[in-house]
Amino acid sequence: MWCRLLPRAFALVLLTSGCDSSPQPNVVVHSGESIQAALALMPPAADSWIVKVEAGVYNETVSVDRSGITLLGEVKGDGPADRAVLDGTVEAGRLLKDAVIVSGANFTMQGFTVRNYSGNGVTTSKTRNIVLRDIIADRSGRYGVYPVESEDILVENCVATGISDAGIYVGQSRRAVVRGCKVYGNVAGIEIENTVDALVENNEAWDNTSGLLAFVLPNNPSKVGNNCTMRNNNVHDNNRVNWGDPTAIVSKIPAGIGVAVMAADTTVIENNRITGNRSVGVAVIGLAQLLPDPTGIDVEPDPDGTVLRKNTYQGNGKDPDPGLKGAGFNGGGDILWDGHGKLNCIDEPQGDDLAKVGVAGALPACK
Amino acid sequence: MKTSAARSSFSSLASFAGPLLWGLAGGLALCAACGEASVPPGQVTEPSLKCPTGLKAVWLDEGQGTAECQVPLPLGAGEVPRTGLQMAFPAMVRPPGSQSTPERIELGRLLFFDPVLSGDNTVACASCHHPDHGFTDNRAVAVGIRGQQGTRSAPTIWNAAFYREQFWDGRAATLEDQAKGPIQNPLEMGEDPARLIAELQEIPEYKSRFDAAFAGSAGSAITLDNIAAAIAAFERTLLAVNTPFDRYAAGDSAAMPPAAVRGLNLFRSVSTRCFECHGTPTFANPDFKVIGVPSQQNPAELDPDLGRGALLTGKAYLHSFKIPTLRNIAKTAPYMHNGVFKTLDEVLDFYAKGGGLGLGYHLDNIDDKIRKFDLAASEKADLIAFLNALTDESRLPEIPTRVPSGLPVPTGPLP
Repeated sequence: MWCRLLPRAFALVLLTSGCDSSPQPNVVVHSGESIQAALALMPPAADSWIVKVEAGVYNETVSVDRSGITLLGEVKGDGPADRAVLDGTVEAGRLLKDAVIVSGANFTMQGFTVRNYSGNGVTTSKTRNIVLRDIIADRSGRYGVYPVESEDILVENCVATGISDAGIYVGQSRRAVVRGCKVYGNVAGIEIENTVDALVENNEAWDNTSGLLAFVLPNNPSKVGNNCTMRNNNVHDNNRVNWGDPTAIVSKIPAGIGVAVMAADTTVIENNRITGNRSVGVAVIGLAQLLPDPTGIDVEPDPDGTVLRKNTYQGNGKDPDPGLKGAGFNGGGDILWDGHGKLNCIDEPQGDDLAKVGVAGALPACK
Repeated sequence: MKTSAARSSFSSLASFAGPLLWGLAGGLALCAACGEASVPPGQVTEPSLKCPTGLKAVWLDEGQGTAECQVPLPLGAGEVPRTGLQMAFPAMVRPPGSQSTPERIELGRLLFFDPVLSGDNTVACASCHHPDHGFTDNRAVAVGIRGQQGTRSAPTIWNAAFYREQFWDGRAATLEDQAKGPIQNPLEMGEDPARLIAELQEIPEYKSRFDAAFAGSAGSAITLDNIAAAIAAFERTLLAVNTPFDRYAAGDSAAMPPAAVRGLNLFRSVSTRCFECHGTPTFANPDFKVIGVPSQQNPAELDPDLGRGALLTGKAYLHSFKIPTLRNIAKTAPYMHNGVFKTLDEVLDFYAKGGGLGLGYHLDNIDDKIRKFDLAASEKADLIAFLNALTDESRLPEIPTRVPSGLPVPTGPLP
């Protein structure tokens, strides 16, 4: 089956994962050479540039400012040495800050490992048509991938681990798909922040402090976050002690929360397996939990229109993090609601068997 | 974005109405109510306005009756960016009737440098916003009439035209509103508007310039609104939009030295996060944020200025300030609302230590982007090289040799 890469296509249209044959690259980067140097060869008039990167270790920060660039990492096998690796180690005790920084549009990057950066793996900022596929972010800093203020984003079949904020982050963006990813050993697994129209599906999130999050924060470029669907994910055993930067908001999250919805609107959580999260399976809360005084902030602080539907819950809330009590909730359970927001509803087959925390018992049935 | 949306709706309207419009176009003589310069749709002629050097004449409306002088921006309407770093500037906030005619711009320039605007005729706008001092005064806080100390640092006028609000606390919605503030502030220029208008009425050159610029007669156009409008028209020409960074963003990879290119990547790192508050192309941001700036008098403490929070109810914005542009930042030391940091070096140290939290202040509303990060000496130098690459003073205006009042033009900040 041959697969034609379509860097220009809207990300949501790209349904294939794993191409059997790649188009001809414009330049091949061999181990020991520089990926940035290969990008600099792109002719001024070119509107696409395909760079193949052979398996090896590349200690650099790559900036991508032209549009139409594709970075194809060679994947020879399953071992860490079988891939193109961007590694931020420069000298003992010092790391580069970011692996890849993208401002250009129509960007595709696949088949890489990014590791040992202090900031982030792959950033895209103020751009569109982004495909990040088969990227392993391993101790890549505060984030694994960080598309922000961007549109039409696909993050597919990626792995994020050992990351001190969110493994996979999508923020201030529109139309994003995060699919088929594995996130484990992070503080937050997958974060969808102040973003409109997102689909988070078929991912596995385990051993994070919190697995999947959809939320809205004030004082950001986007004043809304809505229409995030999280479906068919396996969200289990997210009980890792919060090891985030104590000055960062992420450090406030109690351990053991499978899925968190904070202030985001019309979030749909459906058909997920949510098991073994020691505090709460799904938490639906307002910004009042985070901000002492949300008066006058520039975002609507409450979660509205959340739909919890057809999920499977098991073994959640058995040993709640003390932070839950500190927040005024008297125990753990499957579903937590702090009573903020309108038109939130529940349509769960397990019904009254589910342990409800806060006023989750008052959630009406979905119509 | 705005531009392209407007264009596409216009062109779809044109295609819908197509034959009808073109039929009417043939009847140019039929358009009795069109006033001056009625041009058939589809035919674009340049306005015949004579603009100051370096500004271009631009139609303000599609009916092509009103024109003004504008600074050309790197990315023209409809132009495709050369790199992802090149972004269209936001539309300027303009009150109704705002029009940058050559007469208003020139009148505004003279007023800007004329101490007649102050109560004792010693302070001009240019005293605290002097072109030789980055359009500020290179002081921590400004000094007004009778040597009085102000409360905050005089912001630069460079690119102030692109702010959504003016002043550190954002209390003015337009440049016009802003200009009226210092004129009347007893600590700054300490003037009474009625007295000022009477003074200007006595100066024949101002009478004729105001009449010409605002269609008045016998000085009837001398009003506080028109004073502010003229100053604002002048300020809208004070743009720094052709920096080495802008040329790099337009595709010239040699436009910035390698240290500045490394600095750019540090600037847009998720470790330093500079780019998330100081984003392209303005390097400013319409949101108000808390970063925890120390007090000048007592550096162990958070500065007590509540900033935007003093204007609002609730606690969320206490100690928050407008995020200023970094264009021409190399020229506008010292830094922050109270000028507490004398150098960019000190500013970067502050951020690298984690802002106010790093200094140990208790701040429950500090911006979530403010966090400690590693900053090697070479990285700090690279970041400063990049900040220096945001310098463009090519549009420095000529300082008038004389102003209509005959008062001395300030050569710098007040002693």
